[in-house]
Amino acid sequence: MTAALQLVNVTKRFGEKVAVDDLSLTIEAGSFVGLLGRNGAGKSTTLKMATSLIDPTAGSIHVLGLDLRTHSLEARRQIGVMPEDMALLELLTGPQYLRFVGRMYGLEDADIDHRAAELFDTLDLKAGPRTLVSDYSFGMKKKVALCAALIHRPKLLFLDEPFEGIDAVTNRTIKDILLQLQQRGVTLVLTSHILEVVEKLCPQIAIIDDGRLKGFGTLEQLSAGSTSLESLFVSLVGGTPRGALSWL
Amino acid sequence: MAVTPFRSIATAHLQSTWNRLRRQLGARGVLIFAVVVLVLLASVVLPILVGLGALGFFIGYGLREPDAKTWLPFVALFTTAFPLFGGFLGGLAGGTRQLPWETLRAFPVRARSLFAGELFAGAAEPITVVELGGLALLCLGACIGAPRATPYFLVLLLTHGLALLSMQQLVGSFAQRITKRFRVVLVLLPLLGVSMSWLAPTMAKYARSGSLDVWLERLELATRWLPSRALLEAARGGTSGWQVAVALVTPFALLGGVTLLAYLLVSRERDDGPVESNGPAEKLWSFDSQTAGIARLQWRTLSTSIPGRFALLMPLLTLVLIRGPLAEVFTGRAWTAQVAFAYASLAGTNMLFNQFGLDRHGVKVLLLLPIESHALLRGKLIGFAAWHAVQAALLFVLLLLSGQRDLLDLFAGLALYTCVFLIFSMVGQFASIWQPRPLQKNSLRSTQAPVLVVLLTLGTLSVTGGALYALRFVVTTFLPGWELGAFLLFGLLLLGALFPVMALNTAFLSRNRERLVETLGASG
Repeated sequence: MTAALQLVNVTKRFGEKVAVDDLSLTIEAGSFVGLLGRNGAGKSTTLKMATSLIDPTAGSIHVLGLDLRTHSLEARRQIGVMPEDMALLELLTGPQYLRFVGRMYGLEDADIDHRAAELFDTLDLKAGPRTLVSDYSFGMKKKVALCAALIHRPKLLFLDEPFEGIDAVTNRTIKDILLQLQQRGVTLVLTSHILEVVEKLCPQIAIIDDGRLKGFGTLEQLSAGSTSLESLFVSLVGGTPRGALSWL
Repeated sequence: MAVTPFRSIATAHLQSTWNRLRRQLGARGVLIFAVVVLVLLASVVLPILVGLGALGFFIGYGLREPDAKTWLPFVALFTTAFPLFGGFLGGLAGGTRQLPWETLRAFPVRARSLFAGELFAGAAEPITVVELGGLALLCLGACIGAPRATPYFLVLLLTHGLALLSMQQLVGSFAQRITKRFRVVLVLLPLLGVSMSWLAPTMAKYARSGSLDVWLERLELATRWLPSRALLEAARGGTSGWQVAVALVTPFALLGGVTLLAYLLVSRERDDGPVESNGPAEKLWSFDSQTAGIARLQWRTLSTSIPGRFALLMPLLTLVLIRGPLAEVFTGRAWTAQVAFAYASLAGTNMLFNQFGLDRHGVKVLLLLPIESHALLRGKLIGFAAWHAVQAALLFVLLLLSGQRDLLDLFAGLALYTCVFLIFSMVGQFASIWQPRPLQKNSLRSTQAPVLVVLLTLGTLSVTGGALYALRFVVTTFLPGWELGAFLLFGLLLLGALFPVMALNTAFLSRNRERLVETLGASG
């Protein structure tokens, strides 16, 4: 197996603050990895570095065998990203946006339109032809962001909180698509705070806390007696559930 | 064949602009807007463009005349200033890069392709279209006037047009950077402001003291280093051999320098990440009423946001203008302070006409909490009033320090500032509820106002300016020396009108809470 993503001793500092601290992680091609961590643990910063949106302060990152320092453009051609804030061009309509994204990946207009129509259909994305993305509901925006991340058939897909703030039906649709992608050999890395989703979807789990990797492997490998992912997560990040509020 | 990133970005720009217009105005509104634009084009823009074309023709025609040497430095200065000031205006207007750079950087496209796409897409912005059209007509006129010099004027058009687009990107990026380093700006700009305000009149006085010939000689010497001067000299036939080569190469070299600098600045724009403060915990607020709480929140929002802090620089910029260019226009007149206050009072228009913009999705909290609509509007008004009071006080002190000793004039200026603030607050409250839009707290970008708000602002500005000027004219004609009293009286009348207008705006807010939540609530 070859590595789809390899981070070696990666550190990222923002001034005094160390967001990611000497992190090393190798994700094999075709894996489906859930990246977990508390708020501010360094998950999003790690994803931003892996997608070459920001440069690491130290260490090296290889994506699909390409060193991001020297081949970031080639790497970006083969990855798909669904950022947490979705980063959509909201003054375009959905089809206009996908046309724009497809063109940026060098696709032919006919291919883009064909793929966009299929994606819209599969994801049940129904909006007026003149409706701007800014007028879409939150769930619809998530779907458009997923379409944009998929339209160029990426080999490696990063999803930052894809299930946050969406309804049950959309949730199910996205899960189905992700499983389909995994079956077709696409490597998937997702972050989520919903541990049940990660437990069901992701065969492998990476847990980050204070910018450091606390554990990486299957649930069985990591659990060592823990009954659930939640218990494992809490024990690894050292959080202790507090008692009830005295004044309530 | 796949479409190039350049075409893709340019198309997305145009689509965004068109969609925004259609969304804000509706289909019929777009037609009305088109008519307004056509009227404006016919009455203002077209005469300017035709004038520039005619000017170009006379420049071309007169190139070989013996007296051309006298006016050539002025033409060189004008053609050099064109891309500099044009790009400055375009960059500050924020028309460039309406597509978020962070989004674009995720695509597999080289930074230089993105930059090129953004560079040329900036040419589609209304201000830039007029500027580039003016430059093209100037050069076209010159080519008709002097057909033999056509290659030189084409080089001038190409290099100076591209320089204008590069300047736009440069200024846009630079404005973004300096506003992020606000503490440095707060130290540097006062120094710059005071030195400029001293330097400009000194230079003007020095220039006036010499004879016209000496002054012209100096200008002639100074403009010799400008690429446009070299081109014009070559077009006149005043140079030969290697000098022609130099004339053709220097504009491209300068353009390359400006473009490279813009590219470096833009391509290095990065997410700076979270900023952590290790200082002591801030003191918790205490207030007696909802109005006071909202006022304090508004003050806090303004004082911690970049658009709010940027408004604090306006007194300095005003001082530079008043002591520099405007001092030449209003020479010998006693009402410099009033002009300064009138000018500075317009600085915060953008935020007064979008009072919920900086709250973004926090507006949901404001509307969910049991706060009365009138407390919300009144609190915001007090917060804005306090912020504007700081700006007015700054300008007052700066004018005093820069030698403006007429206290009566200064206080009349303050009263005038208050009048403008009250009028803009009343109309602004309505506009803020009617056409809200999210403003970024840590950026000057994405602040393009809806067209309807722009028209409302221009209308309010014209009526306010006209009314206040008429008032001043009447007072100086019939009761000279009573400007302060007149402005104070007018301010009191406005204060009286404020309460019934606020009641109307409160009712309007109560009916339109949903609009605010829908428009601002979704912004993250």
